[in-house]
Amino acid sequence: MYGIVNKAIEQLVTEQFGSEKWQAVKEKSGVDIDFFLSNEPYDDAITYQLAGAASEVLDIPLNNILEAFGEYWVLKTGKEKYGALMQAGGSSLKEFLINLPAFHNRIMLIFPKLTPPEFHVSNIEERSLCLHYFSKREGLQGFVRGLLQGLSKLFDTPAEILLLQSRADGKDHEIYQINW
Amino acid sequence: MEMGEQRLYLDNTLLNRLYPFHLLLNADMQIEHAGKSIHKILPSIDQGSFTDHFSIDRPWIQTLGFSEIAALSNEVFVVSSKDKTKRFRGEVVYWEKEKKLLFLLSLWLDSTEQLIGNELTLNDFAVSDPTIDMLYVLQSQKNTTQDLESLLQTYNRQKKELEFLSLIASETRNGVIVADKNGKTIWVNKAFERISGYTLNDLKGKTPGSLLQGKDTDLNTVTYLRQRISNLQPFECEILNYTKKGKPYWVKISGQPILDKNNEVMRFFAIEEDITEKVLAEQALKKAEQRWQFALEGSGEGVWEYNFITKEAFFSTQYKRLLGYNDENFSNKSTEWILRVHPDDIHLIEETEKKYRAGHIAGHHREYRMRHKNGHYIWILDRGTVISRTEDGNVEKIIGTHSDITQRKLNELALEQSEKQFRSLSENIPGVAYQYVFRKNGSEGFLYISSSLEKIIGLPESEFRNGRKYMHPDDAVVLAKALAETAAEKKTHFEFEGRLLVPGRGVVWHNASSSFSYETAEGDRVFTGIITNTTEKKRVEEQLALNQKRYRDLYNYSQALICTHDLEGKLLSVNPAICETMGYRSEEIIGRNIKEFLTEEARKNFNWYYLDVVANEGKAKGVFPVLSKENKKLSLLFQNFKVEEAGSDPYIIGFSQDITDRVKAERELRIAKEETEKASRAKEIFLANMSHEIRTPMNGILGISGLLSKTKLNRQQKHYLDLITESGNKLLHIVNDILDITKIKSGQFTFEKISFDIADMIHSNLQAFAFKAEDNGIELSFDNRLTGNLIVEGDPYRLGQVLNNLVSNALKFTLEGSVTVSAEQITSDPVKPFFEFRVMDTGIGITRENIDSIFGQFTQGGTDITRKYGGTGLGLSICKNLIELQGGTIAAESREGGGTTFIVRIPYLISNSRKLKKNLRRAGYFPEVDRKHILIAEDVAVNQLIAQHILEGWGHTVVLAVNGKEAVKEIEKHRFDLVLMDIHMPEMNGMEATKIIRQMEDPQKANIPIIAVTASAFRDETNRYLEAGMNDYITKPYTEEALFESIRKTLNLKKRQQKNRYDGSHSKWPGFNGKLYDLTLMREFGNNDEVFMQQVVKAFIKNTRDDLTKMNSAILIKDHTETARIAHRLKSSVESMGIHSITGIVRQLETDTKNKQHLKSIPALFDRINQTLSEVFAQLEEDFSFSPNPRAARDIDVIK
Repeated sequence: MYGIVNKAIEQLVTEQFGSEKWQAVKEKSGVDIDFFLSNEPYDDAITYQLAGAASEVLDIPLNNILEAFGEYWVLKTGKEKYGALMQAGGSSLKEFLINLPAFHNRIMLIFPKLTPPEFHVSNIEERSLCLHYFSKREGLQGFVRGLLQGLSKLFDTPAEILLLQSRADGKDHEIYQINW
Repeated sequence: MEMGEQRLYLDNTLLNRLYPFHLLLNADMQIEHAGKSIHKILPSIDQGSFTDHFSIDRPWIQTLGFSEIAALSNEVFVVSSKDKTKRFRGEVVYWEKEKKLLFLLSLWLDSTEQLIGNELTLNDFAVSDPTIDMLYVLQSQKNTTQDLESLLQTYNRQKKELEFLSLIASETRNGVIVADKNGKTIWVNKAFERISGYTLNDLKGKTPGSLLQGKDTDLNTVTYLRQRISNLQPFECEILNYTKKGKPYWVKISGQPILDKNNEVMRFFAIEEDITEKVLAEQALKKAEQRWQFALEGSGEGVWEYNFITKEAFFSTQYKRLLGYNDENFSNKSTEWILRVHPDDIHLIEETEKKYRAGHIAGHHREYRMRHKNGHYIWILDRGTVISRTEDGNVEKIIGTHSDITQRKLNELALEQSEKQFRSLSENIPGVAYQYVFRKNGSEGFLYISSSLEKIIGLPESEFRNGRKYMHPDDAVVLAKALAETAAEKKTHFEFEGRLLVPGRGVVWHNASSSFSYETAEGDRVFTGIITNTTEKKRVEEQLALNQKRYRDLYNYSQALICTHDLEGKLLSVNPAICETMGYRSEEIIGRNIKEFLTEEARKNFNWYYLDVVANEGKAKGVFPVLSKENKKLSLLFQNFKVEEAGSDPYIIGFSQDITDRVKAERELRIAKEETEKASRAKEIFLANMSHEIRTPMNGILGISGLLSKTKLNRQQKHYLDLITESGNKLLHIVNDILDITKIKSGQFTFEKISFDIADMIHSNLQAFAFKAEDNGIELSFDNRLTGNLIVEGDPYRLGQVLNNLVSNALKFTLEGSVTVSAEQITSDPVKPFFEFRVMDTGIGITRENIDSIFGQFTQGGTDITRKYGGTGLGLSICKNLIELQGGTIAAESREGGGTTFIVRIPYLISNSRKLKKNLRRAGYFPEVDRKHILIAEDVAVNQLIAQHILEGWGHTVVLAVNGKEAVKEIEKHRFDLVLMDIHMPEMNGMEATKIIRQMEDPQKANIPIIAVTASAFRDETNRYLEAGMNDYITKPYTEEALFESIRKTLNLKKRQQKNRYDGSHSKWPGFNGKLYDLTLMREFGNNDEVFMQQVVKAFIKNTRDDLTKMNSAILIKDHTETARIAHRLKSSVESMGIHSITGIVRQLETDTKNKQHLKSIPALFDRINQTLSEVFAQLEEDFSFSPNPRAARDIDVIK
């Protein structure tokens, strides 16, 4: 993962719970890095360790942490770091989601050390669509759900997010149905 | 597009997808086509030529023309919009065949913000266009730069902090020394070098401990330091050390190891403070203290010292010795001292300590007791002074001495005690001790006068010595004589009593009594004695004499009969009053026994009635019947007492009063009272009977009148019937008034407690007066000042009765103008507020003389009023009683000729139930109900007839029984739904019959609902009916409404058809033909001519339809005057056609629109009138065989 992800976790914990809690999370995780550089790749394990430690220190289930982080990623990090580009992704929730696969395909080339997930969109209706999520990483479903919630808030479009299938059920990828 | 041999065709869609920013120009440089995205950011691009919209930045072209551009096919083009806000990069393709130029451009963006400025999204760029990706790279670089800036900032901040800390360490005035993990010195600051004289070079590679080796350096402290350091613990100590040059100095060392994250030692760190001056000063102070202590000890005083901060104390050997201790058994704890202080004296210690702490004193001097080792207390003189203070000025240390002052204290106490004794003695004797001297040379005077003089006599000593000035002149002579005699005759005793005239006290009697004490060496004779104040004694003596005279006078002149007699009854003395009453002289009475004067009867009872009682109980009272000398019988009320005095035989003193006349009067009064009560009871029985006797035939009169009114009558008959009904109602009203008053007087009145809406209640009551008011041309209105839907709990019927009475009066006494009823809540009590009801009229008013008496019984505003206006004169009295029984008040304000206002105030509970049971049905309307089989038990034929007609009229079937017995028989034989049971019937009354029915075996029969019918209106009787098992009761004469309500309530009847619910337009009168109109009056008028009737009905339908249409419009545009005018016209035709169900509504509509009041409800009123009339039209058209006019029959749109 790029440092920007870890940096976002740090910001989220610091903003919501204070810098002392962040120190505790860092200590708990055993990660001994004082400063994450946004565009440097870091080992995925670091991100997992930070999220796991935050769950333990803050006494919040991991999935909730990941969800919160997903929302934060869209509403705070994305807006701050890639504000205009985020907006160019689409002028509505629907348009943004439809552009999501192309968006990730471009990203892959721009950030060569990134292993971005792959998205696919199907069943596009007036007020719903299905988002297919392919990833080599495990256990980030909560994060994806948070991202989708964040997008729903970003476009001020209340949405219902249903997980139709999951790798946990033996399938090869996740399918989310988004109704708005 | 041609590509070698193959041809590719680009349609617009494909071109737009691949080059959304393309431009196609013709040979005139006009833009023929523009890509969708370039169109999006430059919307006006369709019009004009290329040069109107763009300029070419690169490559350089001398003349901007078609052929010049076409020639530059292989160049990179940079094109700008005219306003220079947008730049494009791309190339140009020249179509020679078509003579066209195709610019294949891409938007050039410097920053991501430009995306937003142009409202562009990902979809506006070709998939192959890397512009967006380039922006990502750009943004990522920006983010990286931000990261680095932030990192740099952190670094700089930390660097500055470190520099700052280093500066503090090196520049502080305390020495700082840092050693590596092996304890070797690696850094010292400037101050360390200054204090110790050693430089860093001297110390490098050496341990700091190597410096601590001077000749007087405390080895124990050095050991402590070594141990703490080797255990990795922080350390602090004071130690004597030596500079490089060998000069000793005191230093305070504090330090600690510095550990890394893994708790490994990185460094040792210590701060050294030079405390030489402080230590030397302390040593000097200690020496001075020791010297001072030595000096004090030499004087035999115990020395102590106390530290306020540490609570430490010091006691010298001499100190301990004073208390019987030595150094071994008396420690230096402050408790050794404080625990030995006498508990009563502890407060002295505490007070002094407080003062020291507050800074009020700098030294002390106090005396108190301390417990000696042997257990007794010794007195200590404790002196002390502050010897040192803390930096902020508080007391730190005091030092002082203790001296044993026990002997001195004991002496002082003994002296004080003897003084106290003497003072107490002379203050407590009830006189003035004195010594008087008769000198040999003839002079004389007081040697001594005790201080109690002023208290006892009221004169200061100096004035008293000059006593003759205050002596009463008569007594001064006596005194002078007594003194002269005592002196001349060498008497050994002197006694004198006389008066002093003391300012402020008046006459003071005093007695001086003394005896010879001794003779002095000079031969002067000294008398010692005492002067006492005898004023009180003298006053009592005088009072006693006066009292004796008074008693004598009382005895002789009293009107009371006073005597004394012995325990046998023998008279010892009698006063003149006895003699006068009895006609005897005193000598004819004294010595004889009382018995002899009593009547013969009383004489027999004398002993147990009187003599034994007074002897045993000490007193007796009662009446003696006695005979005077002239043998006249007298009644004497007596109260006698036994007197027992030491030294004399007990006797009886008696006081009597002649009550002969009073006894006679009381007897007469009692007889009169019994007579009155008898008469009053008779009146009540009479009234109850009269109520019954009058109400029974009244039921006949009013009931039959009601039935008669429903038959076909001509106008004159109807008029006569109205008169009968009116007279009947008036008579009933009078009977009810009289019954109310009787109930009130006998305390039998009770009130309902039900929830009701005050405003609704008043509205519906006023409806009844609307006709009368209108007939008299009086405006009757309700000024409702109540807020919201106010539901209260109380008796609505009695409130209605009061207001009806007042309104009826107001209408009666108002010839023109208006009558206004208002209602208002006047107190804000949340539970039971007061409500004020006013009835205001513009009538004849009441004179000032009459206004006070109008609430009395049988009074009106003057007797001529009664003659002119009629009435019993009970109404207001009943109102007043009804209101006051509910805790309210009534008052009247009036001016003769200027109208009257009655003000009623009654408290009502605010009801918790927001909803009302809507059981108040509108008069005259009886919804259709299930048909029932009803037994009427009634002996009076006319009453049978009434009940039967009413019940059958409602569709019920009826069976008659003439007494209780027959009723029981009928019920045994047949099945009934309900029984109307008269109470007073021959052979078997209703109560007995009910009891028998209730005990029947068949449960259906035993539980049959029974309604009592009675002419008695006394509540305790009606309660008996319910107790006897009846379900409800009605009072004769009853109205149809009352009967209907009671049956409905008893049977819990449901209305048969929901749609028949009262809405003002579907009013039906059961027993009639179901028509909403009644043409009796019309037919009479037209002599029942059918042609005439046809014309009338036709005209009515047409005119009325027109009126309804006009009225609808008038209401729509809120033209109230017009509405009122039409309503007036409608009123008379509705009345003529006998459409009774809406006459009231039309009337109300007219009044409301005329007075512009309740305007909100106008559309609803119209709605009702319109609906009813539509139905009337339909009925008339059917009955008179008119074909309905489809256009005209259409309902008028209801105004909402």
